[in-house]
Amino acid sequence: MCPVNEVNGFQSYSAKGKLVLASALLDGRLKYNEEIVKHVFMCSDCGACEQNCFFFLELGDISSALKADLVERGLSMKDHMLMLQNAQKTDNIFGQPHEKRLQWLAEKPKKKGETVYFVGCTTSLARTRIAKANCNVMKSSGLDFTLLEQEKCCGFPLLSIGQIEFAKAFAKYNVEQIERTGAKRVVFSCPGCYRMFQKEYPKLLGPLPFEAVHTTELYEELLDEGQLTPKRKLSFAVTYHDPCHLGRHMNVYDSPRKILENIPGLKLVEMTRNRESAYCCGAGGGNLPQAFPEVAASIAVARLKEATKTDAQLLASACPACISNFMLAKKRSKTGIGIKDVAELVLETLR
Amino acid sequence: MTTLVKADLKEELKSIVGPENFSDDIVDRLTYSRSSSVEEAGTPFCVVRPGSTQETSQILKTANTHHNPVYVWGRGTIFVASGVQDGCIMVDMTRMDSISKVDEDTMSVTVEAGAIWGALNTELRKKNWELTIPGPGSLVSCTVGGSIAASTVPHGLTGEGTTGENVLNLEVVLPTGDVFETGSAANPQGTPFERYCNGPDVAGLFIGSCGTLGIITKATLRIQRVPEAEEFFCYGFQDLKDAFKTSYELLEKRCTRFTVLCQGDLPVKAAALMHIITTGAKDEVEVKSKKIKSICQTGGGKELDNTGTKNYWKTHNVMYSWLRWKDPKTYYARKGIPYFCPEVFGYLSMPKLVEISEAFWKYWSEHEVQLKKVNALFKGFDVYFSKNGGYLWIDTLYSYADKEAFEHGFKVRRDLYELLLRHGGSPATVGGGEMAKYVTSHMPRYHNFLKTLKKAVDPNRILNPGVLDL
Repeated sequence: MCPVNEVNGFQSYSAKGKLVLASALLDGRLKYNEEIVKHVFMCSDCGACEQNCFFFLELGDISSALKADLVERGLSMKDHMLMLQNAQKTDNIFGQPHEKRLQWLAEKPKKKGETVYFVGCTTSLARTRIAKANCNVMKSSGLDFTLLEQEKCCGFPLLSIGQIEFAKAFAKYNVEQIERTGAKRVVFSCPGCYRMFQKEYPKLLGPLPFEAVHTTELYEELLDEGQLTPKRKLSFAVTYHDPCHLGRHMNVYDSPRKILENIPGLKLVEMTRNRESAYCCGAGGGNLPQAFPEVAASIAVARLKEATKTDAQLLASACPACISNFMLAKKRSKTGIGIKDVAELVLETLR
Repeated sequence: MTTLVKADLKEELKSIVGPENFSDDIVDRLTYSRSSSVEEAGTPFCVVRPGSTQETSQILKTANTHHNPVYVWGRGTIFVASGVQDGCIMVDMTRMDSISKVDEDTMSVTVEAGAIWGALNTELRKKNWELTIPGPGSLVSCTVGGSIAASTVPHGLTGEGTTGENVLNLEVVLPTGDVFETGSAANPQGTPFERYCNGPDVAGLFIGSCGTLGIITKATLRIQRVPEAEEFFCYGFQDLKDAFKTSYELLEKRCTRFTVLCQGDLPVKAAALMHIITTGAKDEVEVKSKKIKSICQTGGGKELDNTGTKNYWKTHNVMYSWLRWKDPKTYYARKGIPYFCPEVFGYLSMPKLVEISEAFWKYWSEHEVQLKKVNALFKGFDVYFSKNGGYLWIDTLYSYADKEAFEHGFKVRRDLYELLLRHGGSPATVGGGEMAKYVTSHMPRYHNFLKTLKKAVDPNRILNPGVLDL
């Protein structure tokens, strides 16, 4: 169930292990040390433990509290500190120049729009094909949308490494930027950003002055309203990987499937572990590959092999972090399966 | 043991399993002390994860040389005390989780002990097979080897029998490190498919032994074709005796795969709620369904909505809530209050089930004032009918954070075990700790035989010492 436990073997890496660790720290049986830091931060935040917990324990919150506690004591993974430093210097976790963020965009975004497309760090800087695909799909539908000229990291990777105050600062900034556009709706292609805005921003800042949706939810809506019409036949089998932060965390399972099922010629085949029981890709919203690249890669290889067993020609997902981690692990997995974002398939069928 | 000797032992263990499968870090060791019970236990001095029967054997041989106790661990999901002692070698079996063979000719599957029930069944279903018993309540996370060693009570108990009845063969590593196979697999030219041959039923010694007599490394289990049809029934009974009489008749006619009877905290006004599941070929299920309806209606049962029954059977994940038609979240999550459940359980004959039901409600009513004072909660008084009687579960909840309530929970557990044993009850899983001593002290002749066995197979008292009070 726990992908990190499965890779590492020792049950101390599981949710139970973290509970035992937390309990031992509280009652003094354990002293803070580097090994604890590794155990606490080696977590993909996939939510499988909480999904399956018999007692409905809020394991995600317990894990977050553990991380925040360590950070307060000055204990953190070196690579996570680098992520934080990058975010502080360049407004993204990769340390890429801020100007690069919208380099993929053909023209400057409008100042105002009914909808804002919040692109996110990974999509802007590492998976620009997804960004372009989404923009083109939205244009085709006639949607009145814009982008933030000065978008910054949503703060989710910082929150997931226990850096709450820094995450809050980014949250405040992004909401102010969005308010300036007058947009009543914000669309996300990254489930990490989506979850951050929808679930965490209200805790950090109070109620949001706009609605937040994922691109797959938007496209399902546009399909139903006839504003998107799939034309071109795509004749192959595809299997869909549920991103943890879209599926288990945000309960979006049907929208991407409806989109894929509406594409003429496309055959959707499910992996054994799908929807609520989907196995993680290993990206952990970005923080696992940074500090534990081998673990992240091993998890991705396992998932790619599972995808290959469906005999699908393509693995589709709706998360740039999942797509990135799968791409990195593809060579190691020795599988030939194609990897694309749902938005790319939608664009292909519109042309 | 001196530090020098321990250092040698560590090196030897590392060389057996590889350094990546060995840990003496306190952060890793602590997880392997407590099972899912609240009883405190010791901390191992190291954790090793063997990847094969041969590695398991070598670990035990090394432990014997160094006279160092060994405890064996699946996923620690059991609710009885683990009995782990300080300084032991903890053997985590979960690395050994592969399916060795699905044998359609003998309708069996052989798996390594660390395989998870739920995952195994998922694989079998891809080829239209399934385990005859899906596993115990924790089937999404517990291991096959651990469940067999603990003789856990499976879903499907009524029609398919106990966990042990569905075990065909075992591969076992004895405490000395010797390896052998039971039943038909004892013949080197044979395959594992028949249990009762080549002499006495040796597999039975290890089922329920809680790892005291040997480490199960492989198990061969029965499988069957995924049933063509299934039907679900739910009946309410106003009279408890009518409910048990009806259950008996259902057992007599052998028409159900699983029958569960719930008392207390019911969604309807009734003395008991009965859930019935029957599966098989289409025509077979039709005939059985008619029999079930006739028996239950004649027995005074009122047919009710079967959604809860269906959900219970289909969603083995959070199933107990459906027995009372409750949403899993409201049933399990007592928000803000960390509860623990000192579960009491045991097999009883049908007449004794009736007696103990009356005795329990009398106890609950007589102790109401004290139970209210500590905010004790009733969770379930349920019977899983077996082929010849029933397995009773008594679940009550006490606050973990309140010292008085916590201690009162243990007192109630002792009182209810006394009640159970007095009525002829026998727990399936005994485990370690205080309750093991208490239960086995009631069965001196049986316990003396176990001690004899233990001495014969584990002369150095290496494996799970203290568990089953051995």
